[in-house]
Amino acid sequence: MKHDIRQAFDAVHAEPALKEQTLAFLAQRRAHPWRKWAVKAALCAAACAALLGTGGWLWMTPTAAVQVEGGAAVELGINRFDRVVSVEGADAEQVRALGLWLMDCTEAVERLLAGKQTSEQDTTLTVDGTDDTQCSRLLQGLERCTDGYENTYCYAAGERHGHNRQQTSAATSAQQDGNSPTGGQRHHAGQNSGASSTDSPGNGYGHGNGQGNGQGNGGHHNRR
Amino acid sequence: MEQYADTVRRICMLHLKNAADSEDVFQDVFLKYALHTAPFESPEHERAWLLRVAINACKDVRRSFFRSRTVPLDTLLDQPAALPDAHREVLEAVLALPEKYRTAIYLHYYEGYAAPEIGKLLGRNVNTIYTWLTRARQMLKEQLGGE
Repeated sequence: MKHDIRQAFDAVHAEPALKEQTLAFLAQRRAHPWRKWAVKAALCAAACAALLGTGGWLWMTPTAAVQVEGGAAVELGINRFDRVVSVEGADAEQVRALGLWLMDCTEAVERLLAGKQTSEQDTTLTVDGTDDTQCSRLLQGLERCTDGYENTYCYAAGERHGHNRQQTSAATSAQQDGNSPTGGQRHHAGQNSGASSTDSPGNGYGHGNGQGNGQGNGGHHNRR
Repeated sequence: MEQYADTVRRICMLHLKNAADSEDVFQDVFLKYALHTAPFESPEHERAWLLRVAINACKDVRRSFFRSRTVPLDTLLDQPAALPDAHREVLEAVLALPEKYRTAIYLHYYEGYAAPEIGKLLGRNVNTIYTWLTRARQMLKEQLGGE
């Protein structure tokens, strides 16, 4: 058997064409040893570009908006990380000069309001977006930072529109029984110390003694 | 390459079923050989290294999902008509063995390795190699007859 196996395998040889092709292949690889590294570098660069592109898109895409109304309206585009990524409005150039880009939303609004502090005009902040969690978070942040400002109202966009529709039908009865109007169950923190919820209309409900002007119930209204 | 080309070609024939895969493995093995920088202890060490690399390369190709699996013997050898019938019969019988038996038979009867050396090459216990050789011999006897 051993003899037979040896003779059988002795008949198997590497073909001359195969040997020539292999030598040519090896010569090519020796001539361009950098090719392997060039391919790897290109793949790394492509991966980095994809990562940066995705990261850039995630960072720069606004997912919510904060509209500041009081005088000239300004709209801040807010990304998913609660940072300002765009500024639009009549005073956009002046606002951009404040350096709000990529600033935290709450800090940006504080800086904006600092410029309006001396104004006697009411300022309304409206949060709008598709992500309810983010909108809620932004609204809470704005309420905290506007605690020290007079005539400042904070709303979530849906609640504000709902308030306006229901204002004429529900506002009076709701104020009498001390319940907040439908949809206005938020935004009462820090209002009117010592004031009763059954006080005259406008007390803590965003009417502001006739200054409501359709701003709706449920506004976070600070009076000092 | 002249020294080891036939050896690597035989390993490819033992493990692979088509000429394209054989060519790929043949080139890969000699590329690795060309890129190998550490010195070999002896010619035997060099030969054993090449055999090990060739066997591993064939295993990698066989595990690859996209490779085809079965091809007649004629396509494995470029000169099928040049092989006498007796040799073809022996080769077919060996190629019909399970892969691990094939390798053990080839390394023992053609390359001349003892069972302990084959165990080292393949990373197996020497008793396992003895078992493989015994069973492979039994199967070849049944197929070919004789001793």
